[in-house]
Parts: sequence; structure tokens; C-alpha cells
Amino acid sequence: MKGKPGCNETCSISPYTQGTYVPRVFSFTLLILTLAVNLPAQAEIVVIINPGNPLMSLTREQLIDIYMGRSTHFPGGRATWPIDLPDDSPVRSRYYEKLVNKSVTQINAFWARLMFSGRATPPHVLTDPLSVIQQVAHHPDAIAYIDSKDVTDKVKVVYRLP
Amino acid sequence: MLPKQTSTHSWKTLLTACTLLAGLSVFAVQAHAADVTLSGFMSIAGGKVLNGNGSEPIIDTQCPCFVNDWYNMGMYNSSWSWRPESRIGIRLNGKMTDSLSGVMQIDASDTRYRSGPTLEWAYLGWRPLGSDWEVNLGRKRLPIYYYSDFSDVGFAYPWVRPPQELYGWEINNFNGATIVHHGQLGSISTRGSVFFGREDSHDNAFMAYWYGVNDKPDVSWSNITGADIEFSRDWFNVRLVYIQSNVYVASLSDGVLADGGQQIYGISANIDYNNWLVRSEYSYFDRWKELGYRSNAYMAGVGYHFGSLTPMLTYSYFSDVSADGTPTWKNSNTSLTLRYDLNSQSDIKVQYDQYRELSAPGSTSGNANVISVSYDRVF
Repeated sequence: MKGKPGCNETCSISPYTQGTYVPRVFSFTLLILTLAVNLPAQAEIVVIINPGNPLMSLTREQLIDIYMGRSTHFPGGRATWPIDLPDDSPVRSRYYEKLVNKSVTQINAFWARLMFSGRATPPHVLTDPLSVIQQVAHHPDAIAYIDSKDVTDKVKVVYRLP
Repeated sequence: MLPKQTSTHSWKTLLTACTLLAGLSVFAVQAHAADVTLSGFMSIAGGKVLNGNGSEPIIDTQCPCFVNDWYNMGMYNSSWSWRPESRIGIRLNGKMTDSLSGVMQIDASDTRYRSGPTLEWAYLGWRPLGSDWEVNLGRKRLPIYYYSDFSDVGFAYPWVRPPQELYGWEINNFNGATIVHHGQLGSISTRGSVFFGREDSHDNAFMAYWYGVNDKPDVSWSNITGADIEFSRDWFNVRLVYIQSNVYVASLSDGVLADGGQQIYGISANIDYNNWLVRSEYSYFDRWKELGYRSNAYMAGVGYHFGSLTPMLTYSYFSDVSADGTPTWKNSNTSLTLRYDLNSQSDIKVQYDQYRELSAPGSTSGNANVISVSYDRVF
């Protein structure tokens, strides 16, 4: 088998080559359905807050202000306690790319200015989605972002990044 | 060879810093604060002048040469050196209560005219929980320019150094009080501050350039009063600053060299739009009325992020006028920088500078083409 290009074990069990005949149209429909159900769910990042926080939604600008150290309050006056994921988290890099179109390094360089000039403290870093959910559920001022597949009913979604 | 004339002073500063550091830690522990964080930054930078036409030595550095750091009188010349620009800084941030915090930062460098650790920041910050107001008491960077507060933190900006046509005077810090207000104007966030204080610098490196090292010039900026305001919206940012103070300079052999008022005006505008970055700043020093001196400086730069690689082209300009007949100093500098982000906390940069003397020959440090590299990181 080694060295033979094109066909391997996977292709030998493909419905096109042997076994039950599956109409092409049907399999395409299946493919599209699969994409529609799975891909957006994996790609979507949601911003969550504590359910006790009366806010129902946030705008992109408000979110930028909170995550870029410009605002320490939610609209309405409640203090914010922002949470970040670690530098190497793919969700973190997708979040900042979608929010402000910046790489994690650019975000860190931006924070180096605020931090070393004593203007603001970067968001608190938590390592995994489970502890993020726990902290947001526990801390009334918390705000965080997670992959939408990790959302539970212990937190409230206030923004969706497609 | 020049003696390291600031070493005694440095050790005194270090001692003071350690005492303060210990004090802060004890205070933090006594206040049962679990929240003491240590952070820092470093830049290992080196460079040399490839060619140029400066012939008169500056202090005792042979020229052609290039001043990479006016405040510390860091200079490159035709032999490669890591000394004038490498630096390290350690910052301790202690949160004593929900509204009271303390900050201390010690920087260390080893330029020929100033070496060892210096206490750059040491202040107590008070911000009542949920308040838009904040009060800082102690030692801070004097925010003359946009990059003043973090001009040592190479990782935070796109160049090997902020353009020295603007950055770098005899005074970098001050002791005093700052009142800060954070606000919101519709979708624009604002940060304004007013500050008061003074700074005394003995054996000033910058003044040694003008009046001689052996004279050990002393400089004081007293009655510093200033205000700045910064507006930020999404990808756009503008900052305005005004500072006034009295300037006093005296040396051993000449006595009082200057004693009079100054006004400093500055504006900067920055854009971070998609992958584009634009940096611009203008600064005007007016000491005309009592000291017969004024200066203008500006810079403008454009860069683009190609993934981890950011090339940046920057033009900067400085000119001054003295009533006493000192020749006008006028020069430009064009720099091309390549920054490469190694990971989320470090980068390497290569920069080519083309310094041009625009006033009479010999009135500045002279034309120079300079290559420099740096490795910057934060931790």
C-alpha cells in the first residue's frame, strides 16, 4: 500500500467506490447540512457576563472600550472585571482578530503601554473555559469570551462574534 | 576615558529604591493584599554609525556619531556597541486595598554617561471603587510626549527607539501629584490629567553635553504644572498636552546658567486601522521670554502589519533658535524599521537611520547613517 498515491483505506470505504449507492445530490445536501450545523458553532465566539448583571447586550464599541483598557465600567456604571484566555489560546487570537483586527502580540504591545505607564491593568487571565464559566457565574462584575460550544445556562451571552 | 561619575548617585538611588520596595512589600503584606504583581521589560540593542561627517567629538565620544538617547546621552559611533541602548526595567505593582495601590519601577542601563539602576516610578494611586477619578502621589514619568510614559519599553512601539528629534530632554521624571479623570463622550473615551511637581537632577547627562562633564551641571524644573487629554475611538487616538515650569541650570565653574520659565505644547495623533499604523506628533518648547530659546519638533510615520512583520517608515525634524547667538540646530532623520514579532511577548527589530544636518555645518552632531538592532521583550 505504501507509496501508492490516491487511494488508501478511507477511499476504499467511500460510498462512491463500493458498498451502498448514495446519490450525489443527497450526499451534497448532507454535506451542506453538516457545514451549517457544525462550522458556525465552532467558529462563533460569544461574550458572557454574570446573569445578575442587568445588561442584555453590548455594542462592539463598548466591548472594545472594556477590553482595550479604556473603560472600567459597563454602560450603566457597574465596574467591569474582564477575563482573558492565555496567549496561546486559539479562541483568544480569534477574539481579538474579529474584535479589533489585531494579533495577540499587537494586543500585548498595546497593553505594555497601558501597564508600564500605570494607566490600566490587563484583563485577568484564566486558563480554561471551565474556570471562565465558573468565575463569570460567581463574580457579578465579570465579563469574558468563550467558544459558543462551552456556554452553559450559568452565564448570560451579551455579544456574538461571528 | 570618562569616569562613571554617576555611580555613587546610582547606588544611592538603588538603595532608596530597595528601601521603598521593601516598604511597599511590607505595606502590601500588612494590608493582607494577595495582589502583588511583578512585571518587567528588557531591550538588548546595539548599533553603529556606518558613515557620516561629524568630526568634533561629543563630550568624549568620537564622531561621526549618532545620539540614540538624549536623556542618558547614549551615543553610537563607528564601532559597534551594545552599551548605549540596552536596558532593563522591573515594575512592582501592589494592590493594598480595592482603591489603594502602589507602583514602583526601576530601570537600569549602562550608557557611557549614566549607568546603573534609576528609580523611574514610585507612586501611590488612589481610586475609589467605581470612580472615574484617580489620584497619584509620588514619582512618575513627566508626560511631555505620547511615548514618554513607556519610552523604555521597546516591545510597546514599532521602532528601536522613539524618534530622538522629539524625545529626550534634560528631565524625564518628576515628583508630585497627578489627578486623572477617565470619561466618555458619546463613543469617544477620554483620559485627562492635571499634574504638579518638580524634579532636581544632579550631574545631568544632557546638560553635560552643552556645558561640559567636569562642570557637573545641575538642573531643576520647579513649579511644574501641566495637563493632558487623550481621546480614543476604535482605531483613532489624539493627545494634547501643555506643561509649564521654571528651568534652572547651574554648573560648578559658571554658576547659574539659566533661570526662567518655559511652556511646552504638544499634540499627537495615531491611527491603527486594520493593518495600517500611522504615528504623528508635534512639540513646541517656548523658553523665549526669559531664556531666549525655543524649539520645534515633529515626526510622522507609516507602517503596515504583514502578519508578524511590520515595516515602518518615519520622518522626524527638529529646529531651534537661541537669542544669545548660539547657532541654530536644525536636522531631520528618516528611519526605516523592520519589526518581527517572535512570539506574543518578544520581538526583534532592525532599523536604518539617516540623520541629516540642515543648519550650518558643525551646528549639530553631523550627518550619519546608522544601523541598529534590538531584541525586546516583556515579562
